[in-house]
Amino acid sequence: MRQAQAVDAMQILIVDDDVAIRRILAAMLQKWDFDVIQANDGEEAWQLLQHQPVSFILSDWMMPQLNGIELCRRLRAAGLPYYIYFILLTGKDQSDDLIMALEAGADDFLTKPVNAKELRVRIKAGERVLRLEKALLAQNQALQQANQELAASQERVQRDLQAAASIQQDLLPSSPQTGLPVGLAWAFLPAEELAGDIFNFYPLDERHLGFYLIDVSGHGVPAAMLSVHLAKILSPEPRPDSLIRLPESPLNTNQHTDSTGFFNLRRQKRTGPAIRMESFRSPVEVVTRLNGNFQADDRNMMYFTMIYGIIDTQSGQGSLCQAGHPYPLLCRSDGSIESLGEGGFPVGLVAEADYEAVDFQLRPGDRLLLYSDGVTECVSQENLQFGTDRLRQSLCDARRSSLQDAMEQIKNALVAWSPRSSGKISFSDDVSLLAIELSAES
Amino acid sequence: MDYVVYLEPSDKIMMARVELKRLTADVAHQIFAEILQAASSTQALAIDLATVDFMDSTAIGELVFLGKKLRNGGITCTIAGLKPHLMGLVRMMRLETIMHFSEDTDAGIKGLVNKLKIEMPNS
Repeated sequence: MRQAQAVDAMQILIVDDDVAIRRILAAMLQKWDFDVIQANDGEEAWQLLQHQPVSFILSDWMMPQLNGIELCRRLRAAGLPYYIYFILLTGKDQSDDLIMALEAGADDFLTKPVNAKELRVRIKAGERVLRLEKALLAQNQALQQANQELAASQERVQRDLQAAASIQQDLLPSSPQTGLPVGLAWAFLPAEELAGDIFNFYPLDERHLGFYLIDVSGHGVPAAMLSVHLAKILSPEPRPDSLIRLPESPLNTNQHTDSTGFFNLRRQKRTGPAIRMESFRSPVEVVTRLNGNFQADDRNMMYFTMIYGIIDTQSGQGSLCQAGHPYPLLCRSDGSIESLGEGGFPVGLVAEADYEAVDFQLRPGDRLLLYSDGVTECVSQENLQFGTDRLRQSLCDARRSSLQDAMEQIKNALVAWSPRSSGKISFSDDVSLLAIELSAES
Repeated sequence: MDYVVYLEPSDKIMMARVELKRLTADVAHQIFAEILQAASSTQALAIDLATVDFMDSTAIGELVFLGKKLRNGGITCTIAGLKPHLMGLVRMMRLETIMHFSEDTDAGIKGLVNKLKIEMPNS
């Protein structure tokens, strides 16, 4: 037990040029179980401290070479990584001396001859200060460590988000070329690294174009994960879980038909092999199936609005299903603009939802614009929404430009409308636009 | 985000007035949970959202879920005072076919009184 105390005993450095006083002080301190080391003057103490950290010093004031006040000043100026509690011992007892000692950085001041009991309690007080300082230091180190770990973790998360955003971007269209006689242009301005919006288009066969635009509720990773999953199952590639294509089977005469008879009409006009016509589902069926597969619940308040549509690029006849998504705009070549559809339930909110087909006819030069609510709800610095009227006007104003340029003009109008935050454009929601134009030669 | 929910409990028609400009994912769940809890022993509920200028998609989802829970609990509900552009959103999502919306709280309460054939509150 005694051994353990000796190991844990606080080390005190006595600095005094008077050997007799050093011995008396050392004897007292050792009696109180302190570990004592000694120096003959300030300079010797300074040298000793260079290789032996001591956190408690009892020092005489008047000494040759480096006196106690100078030693104290030098220690404080050195900015050591640990605190040294410094008691100055002196025959001086004027208040000016006390002020000078404290201003030099001393923690306490004792006049000689030293009273043993007084010294004992003052050392105890110093010990308490050092214990607090040590605890504070440990807490600071722990905080620094935690901060470093947090910064590293944040960097990892940021890297992961950027990688995920890159994967998501890869799922967006890369080229307007589909091999079909349609022009295609789009704009995508995500509000955060990861977006809840996703869109795409693809040839379903030699004359049909499939297209969709989806806006998943919420933001961030959950919304992005759902949007990526939706992009996969809405992919035109033959996959077991594809919602677009029917499973390969002989001619399916019971295929769902839109109320408008769109698919019946297509059957009459089709020129390709029958299996091609029967190989993909109608927009209503796709959306209905999606609604059957995805239902939000209390644990997972996620649903999405979408438009999925198909255009026969030869006849210009189209059909789409609007599921809670903003009304698509159809800009005729004469500049008139029609709003398509009468709304519909978002996917995932109402299990028993019925969806309707919205049929339309595109003529060469007509443009169909799909957009997410991030476009119309884009808020200016003055807290005004971009709104549908402004979007319609932008679409009309840009009708004589190429589809790509028109899209760029609408995008620029939105960028100009949106507020800047620290010089950067900030959107509160993802902004997605997809435009389709029937080519003149179709 | 600061908001205030004024509740006027009643065993017949409870009124809840939500005061905030932007009803978003940050607060929607909490607000509707407070209303749902307070409405547990009422027959009908009128939720006044007249001060709301903006609802994000999550808040709309939460509103639909509140409607479902109230319906499952046998409580008739009306959403009162939605601004025209928000009613436009409601129609775009066809929500007016699964929930009841009224022009303002008075109209909402009258509608509930007629539907449930109960006495007008404070009459």
